[in-house]
Amino acid sequence: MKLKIYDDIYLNTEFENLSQKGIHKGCSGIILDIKADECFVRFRNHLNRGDYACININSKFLDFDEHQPKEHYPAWEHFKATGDLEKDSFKPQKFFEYDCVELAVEKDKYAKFGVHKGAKGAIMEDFCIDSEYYVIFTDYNTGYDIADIAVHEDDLILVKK
Amino acid sequence: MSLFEKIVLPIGTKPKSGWIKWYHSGIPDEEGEKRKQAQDDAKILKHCENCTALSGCYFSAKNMPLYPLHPHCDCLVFSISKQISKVVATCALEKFTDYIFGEKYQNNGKTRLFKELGFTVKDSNYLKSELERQAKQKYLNGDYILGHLNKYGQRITIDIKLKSPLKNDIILKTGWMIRTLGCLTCNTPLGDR
Ligand SMILES: [Zn+2]
Repeated sequence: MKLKIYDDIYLNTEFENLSQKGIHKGCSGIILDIKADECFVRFRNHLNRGDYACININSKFLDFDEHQPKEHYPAWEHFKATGDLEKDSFKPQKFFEYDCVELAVEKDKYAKFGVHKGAKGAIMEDFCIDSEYYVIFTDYNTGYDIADIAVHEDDLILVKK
Repeated sequence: MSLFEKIVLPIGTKPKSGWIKWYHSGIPDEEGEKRKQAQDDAKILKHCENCTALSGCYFSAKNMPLYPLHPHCDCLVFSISKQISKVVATCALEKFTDYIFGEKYQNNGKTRLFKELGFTVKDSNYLKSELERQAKQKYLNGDYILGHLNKYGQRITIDIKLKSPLKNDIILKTGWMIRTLGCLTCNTPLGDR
């Protein structure tokens, strides 16, 4: 089947150089451009929703999934015009489910939930969104929770794996 | 869509009874790769991430998120015509073995609270199944408290009654995430006081 621009695809082969960028066999993406048999693909990072990597790859290594609806075209055109198309690897996953973490900064967006610098909590999902992790913070004196909120990875330090 | 009468409630209308299904176009109901992909693209396609997180979730009409969620919200709410039956509440065993009684959380106060009630890590299987059993029933009864909603989803709190080996009956305030099609997953077996 001939692939087209804005087809959703899956990577059908494991490559050493791509795996180092976090992109593995089975990874989904969308074709942003095609020149001859070379596809320019935006792969999705399922461990960090919103993160992506743009790669040139031969179409024989891609399996067709489905075509994006026409009404989505303008949004993808906008991404092609304004997005960072040089970004060619996924962000490494910094934390994992049940990791014990500590809030390293004092910020209003966390303080409004009662979570202040030094608060400790647990990572409670096996993925993150926009590099923000879902964390349950606990008052260590009482054992009860302060809040469960999304916290950016740069604002967290690992206490115990 | 077979479970549902195609009664789309006008925006701003709140059904008085029964169950509703939240719906955002383009987001598959089934948890899995397809849903993840659609949610991945949500930001590019300028969809509200909170709305896409709610899509496919069931709520008791008397206990549902604000509808519409925001100005220009293009979500729909369907009235469910039949009694929902496929409710599944899941509490990972690790919530007890790796968290409540987990070694790295020995000092966070939760282990102590459970030990005061007479529970140890050996009770993990019992606690897991009791949380799942009661959460399922309470959710079916609409007996939950709506909590925080963000791009991860809608949290609810469910009171779980336990027979403590050392004390009288106790109530645990447990935290759950509403997943799609009648599923719930436990975030924490002990949240609030
Ligand atoms: Zn909406």
